[in-house]
Amino acid sequence: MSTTITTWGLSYAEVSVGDEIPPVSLPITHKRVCMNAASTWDWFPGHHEPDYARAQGQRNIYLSTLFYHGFVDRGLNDWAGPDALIRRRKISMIKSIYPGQTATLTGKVVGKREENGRQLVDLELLVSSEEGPCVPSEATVELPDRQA
Amino acid sequence: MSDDVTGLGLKFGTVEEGQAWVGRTSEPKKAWFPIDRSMVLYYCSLVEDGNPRYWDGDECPPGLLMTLGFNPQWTPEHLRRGDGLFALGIPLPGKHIINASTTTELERRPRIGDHVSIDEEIVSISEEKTTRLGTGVFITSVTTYRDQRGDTIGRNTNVLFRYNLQEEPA
Repeated sequence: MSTTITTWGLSYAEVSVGDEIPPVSLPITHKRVCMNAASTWDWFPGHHEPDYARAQGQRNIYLSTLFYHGFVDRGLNDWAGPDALIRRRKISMIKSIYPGQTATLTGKVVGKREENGRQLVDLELLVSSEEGPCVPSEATVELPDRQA
Repeated sequence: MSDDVTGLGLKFGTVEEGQAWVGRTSEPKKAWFPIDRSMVLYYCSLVEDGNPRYWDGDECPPGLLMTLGFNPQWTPEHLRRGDGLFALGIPLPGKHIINASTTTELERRPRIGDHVSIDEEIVSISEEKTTRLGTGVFITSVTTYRDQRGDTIGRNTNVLFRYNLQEEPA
């Protein structure tokens, strides 16, 4: 399939160390946690069976790794535009997020470098809930030379 | 009755038996079907991602790569495969699992139509540690995703905590 995509977004020159990405928040409903399992095929019972989640030491069903992948990447591309290529993304899950809470992504640019012809921007990111930090993350994003 | 309360096919043994798996790599397995548009759009709906490369183009969010290693919840007998996630087949004491971290490195953007093959290497298993969830080991594995030409799309380094609650016997 070949489709022409209208692009926009940041170029490497437009980004500075210290820049912050616009925060992104999503309400985490019971439905969204169920969507998490269904849309990712991740049927580990902690993500859809409350009794199992409690038996493993959790408060309720909780968001999965694959949710955080997509949520962090969405925040990065919302900020930098669809041409930004996420070369690396690390997430560390230190606290779960449950139905009834809000997941909020924040982040800032901590470095810029050129490597093997690629223009790379390093970011520190954090997914939080009302209870504080939940998923500290980091990413390296390749940005285009100039604005599309 | 199986001790596997997760339904994911956990195998059980001692920490030493589990650590003998370090260095092993799974046979490559093919995802059940090529990446398709419904998978992509359902996933974008989950995180409300309006990226036009996904909605108007033919690309796939890299966050979905892990999904390609999962099997359907049910299959007809003649199509059944015994190739669940490799790390879950390591014999270890823990009844429970929870993911601790993942690091994804991308060589190129995944696309609709990619029929991905997956292999998984066990790179380390820690000594037993106690966290606020319980006592268990951290399993680090590296999964490589290749397209139908054998070219690498990306790789995922995953750290999984396999544990028992404090009051549970090993």
